[in-house]
Amino acid sequence: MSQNLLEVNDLVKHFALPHPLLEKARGKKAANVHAVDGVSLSIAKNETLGLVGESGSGKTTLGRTILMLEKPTSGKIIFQDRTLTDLDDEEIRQLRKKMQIVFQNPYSSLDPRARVKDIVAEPLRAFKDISSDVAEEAVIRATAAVNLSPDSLSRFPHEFSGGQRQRIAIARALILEPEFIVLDEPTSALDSSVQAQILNLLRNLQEEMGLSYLLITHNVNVVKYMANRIAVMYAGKLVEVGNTRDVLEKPLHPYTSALISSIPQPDPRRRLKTVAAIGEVPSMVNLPTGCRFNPRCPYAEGICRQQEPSLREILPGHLSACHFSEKFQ
Amino acid sequence: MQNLLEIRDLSVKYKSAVKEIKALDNVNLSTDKAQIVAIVGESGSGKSTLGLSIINLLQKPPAVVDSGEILFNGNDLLKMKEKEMADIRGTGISMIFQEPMSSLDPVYTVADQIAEAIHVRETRTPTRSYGPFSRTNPELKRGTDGGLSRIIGIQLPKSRKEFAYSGEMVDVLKRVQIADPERVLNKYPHELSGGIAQRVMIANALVEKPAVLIADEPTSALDVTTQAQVLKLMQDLRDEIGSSILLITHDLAVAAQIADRVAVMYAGELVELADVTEIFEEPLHPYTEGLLNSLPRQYRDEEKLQGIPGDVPDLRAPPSGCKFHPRCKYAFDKCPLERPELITVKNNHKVACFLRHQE
Repeated sequence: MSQNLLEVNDLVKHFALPHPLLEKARGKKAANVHAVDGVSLSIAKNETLGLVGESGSGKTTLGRTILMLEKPTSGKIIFQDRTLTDLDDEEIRQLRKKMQIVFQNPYSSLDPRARVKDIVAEPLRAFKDISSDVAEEAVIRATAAVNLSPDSLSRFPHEFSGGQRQRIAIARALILEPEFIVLDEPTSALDSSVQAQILNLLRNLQEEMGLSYLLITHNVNVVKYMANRIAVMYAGKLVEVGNTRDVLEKPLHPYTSALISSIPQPDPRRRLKTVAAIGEVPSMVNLPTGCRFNPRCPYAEGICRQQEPSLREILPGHLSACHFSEKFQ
Repeated sequence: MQNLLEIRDLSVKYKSAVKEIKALDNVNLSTDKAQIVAIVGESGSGKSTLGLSIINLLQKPPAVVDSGEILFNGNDLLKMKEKEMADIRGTGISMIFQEPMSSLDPVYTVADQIAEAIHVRETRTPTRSYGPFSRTNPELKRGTDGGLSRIIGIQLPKSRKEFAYSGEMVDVLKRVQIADPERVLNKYPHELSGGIAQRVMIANALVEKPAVLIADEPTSALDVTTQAQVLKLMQDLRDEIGSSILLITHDLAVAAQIADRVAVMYAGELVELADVTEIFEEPLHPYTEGLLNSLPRQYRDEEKLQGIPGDVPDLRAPPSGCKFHPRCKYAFDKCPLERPELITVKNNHKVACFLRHQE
């Protein structure tokens, strides 16, 4: 399967909670937050995979772990046929040139005391052996690619609006000419009129530079517009993966259906009628037994409380982790 | 007929020694009983300032009310003394905020806070002007057994007030779809999830039965599944109690879901006001049109989003004339020179745009 740029196999990331003294005295084990709990996915060249889920579902941790910004607890990450999880730090550092990330909040992800040109050039400097002439040229190219005017280069982040700042952050991610970018809620902090500009920019850049994206967002409409395929995450696991159209129009997992049916549409003639999922995202420390969605699922039966469903292919290219997916076809 | 709430020519600015920002510029808006009016705008449009002005919680300074009146049942809220205003807050005009966590008092349990709301409604004597430290009436001291009883593990007798209201408290939490009200009542705000905390805020509003509820981005911090439930609750509040709701939001989709009328704000001005179906189907202001076009609804392989070029203006140096003209694709020679008034152009549809005024 070498046509995939990135492959993730059974990735697990647990965070240990601080061990309360009293619990320790009682001989109990420290609890873990199961942020990412056995996720497998792949991203092809030039593809956008949209990762949707509610807050606390582990989608940001998944993105960070794929880039090895968090050390995985177990599992495999294969990028360009190299297994990241087997490489040493220096090799990973070199590979980072090809993998970048854009964060949600452009107000906190840019150093307020650095000028735009230095912010954008920072990744270059991390890989030294680059002359200042070459660096300057690269900065000009990267900022031009995101439609920032050349006179903005010597200004500071506070002089820019949210949309402009996100352009700066994207330019910084582009300067090393990466092949894969994790976009972690890239437009959630932006106004809707500006969001459209940034989404279009990201799509144009992808076409021009052959980029692959992992787009992490809670906004299903953004994913619909951006992604070739969608992965739906719930409580640390993927519950459904498939082509954007298939997943949004014929969801095979009850959670995906609930999620889609609660998205408000900007159309007063299509108001939400029923309120689908009752309850809340489960605690990531004490997960429900069996299927993690069963306490909120309107179709849950005995088996759902006992056996955890695995993510399996129901229709070609359309995977779902529900015991009854065939029923929802 | 007199409107329940009427805002006339309201102008508010934020002033510091070196700069001045016109946050609201001659805003006129009114709402009837049992009506949901959505105030839609992007950051810096002045929508939150408008909400805070109505309930008189603007921090002054730096805020200065330049001109205008806010009539509630015919009385000007801006001329009221703090004590009179405090009598109106809660049962007259209530407000819920974007961050439910920061608007619940962290040192009191949910039960304490709902009991206070019920008590305010029952007695309608102000217990405090604002903030936890201005409480004066000793009779209204809130029960503190929630925390203590959990530390020592014994259930202490509830305070008189909590005991009297416990039935209603459980009922109202059930109303807002909290599954185990008894347990939630004994919790402190930091122990609640965002969705539950926002439901507690709405429960507070439910027991106060306000004539006007101002909801400032009530669902922006919530996940979509929770958002849908909270929006439904606000509709119930209107249907059952007849509250009129001012829903402040940046999200047109949220407005489309529950509003009767929609007011669109841009850079401190009201640029369009119409019934909800009108505004979504026949937007007249180029900004509203652009805003609707910038919402992604299509798939990747379909046509590209339009969006609005440029950025929200810097209010320290706003554009001349119509503040939207630098981003407007229809702008013509008059637009940078003169400010268009908000004028009714057809059935209850008002717009501030020269393009539409000429037609």
